[in-house]
Amino acid sequence: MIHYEDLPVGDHRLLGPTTVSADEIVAFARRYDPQPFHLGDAGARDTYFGSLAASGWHTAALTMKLLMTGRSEPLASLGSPGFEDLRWRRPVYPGDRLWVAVTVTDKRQSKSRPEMGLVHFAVETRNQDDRVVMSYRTVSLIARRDHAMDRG
Amino acid sequence: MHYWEDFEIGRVDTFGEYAVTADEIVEFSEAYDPLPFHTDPVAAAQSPYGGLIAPGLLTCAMFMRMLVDHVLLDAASMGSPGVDSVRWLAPVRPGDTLSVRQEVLDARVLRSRPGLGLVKSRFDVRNQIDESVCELISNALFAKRPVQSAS
Repeated sequence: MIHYEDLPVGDHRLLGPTTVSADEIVAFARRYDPQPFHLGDAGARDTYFGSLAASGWHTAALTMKLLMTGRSEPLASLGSPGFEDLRWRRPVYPGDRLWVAVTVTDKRQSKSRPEMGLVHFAVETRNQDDRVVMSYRTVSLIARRDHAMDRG
Repeated sequence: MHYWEDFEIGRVDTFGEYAVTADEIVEFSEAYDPLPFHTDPVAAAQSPYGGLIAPGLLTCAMFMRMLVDHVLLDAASMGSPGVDSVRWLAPVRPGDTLSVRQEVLDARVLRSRPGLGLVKSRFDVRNQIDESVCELISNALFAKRPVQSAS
């Protein structure tokens, strides 16, 4: 388990890859973002996307998957208050292979809840050509190892 | 059909009704955010949250579905460059019913793409007791209303 103590400021990881299929793009979009350009090539042809492209929220979900499962051990995450400055920079197309570059930019112990600390992350999702498709900044609540040991 | 001109600064709209289920929380979480308090009702009961809660991104996805159904499918929507901020303010649990309040904060035409306008909104996702569970400050692009031909 990766705890608060294991995430020094400056820690930089490249997680992945995960590949996204046309079927997966359409299934996610049918449920959460059924706009024509996320449902098929025909609905995307005359748009900015040009052909079927993933919902931005699907890209965000795939990024979350890599953040949570892409390390050698699970992250002792206790949730997050939110994120900032999320930018969808390029479309994600079927067959794209996505990587997540995550950097610890700041951290501090919680005064009110000593069992956890706040870790600030800068997150970039990149495709197989190393182009950034999405980026954001977030804060996660991460459990402290010393507290976990206190509990026995 | 709604165009950029229809999203005037200060406009307030409320829409949507989304019933949150345990099945949907578990299915989404197993695929994208497999923390025990999202995927396992027993572990969740022993967590600080006291029971299963939806991943924040699932709340965003459910918000998006309400936005698409009630606004975007009847609008000249051209996608979104991004979200300025998202705050998850209260847990979302099975049995909750969510809705959305939109307030238009800013609307301007893009210099680089004169046929398009940007709309910045504050969205409050609320539950059945009118508690705000999530606040998003978000941007969306819409086509401008086509100029009517004189002929």
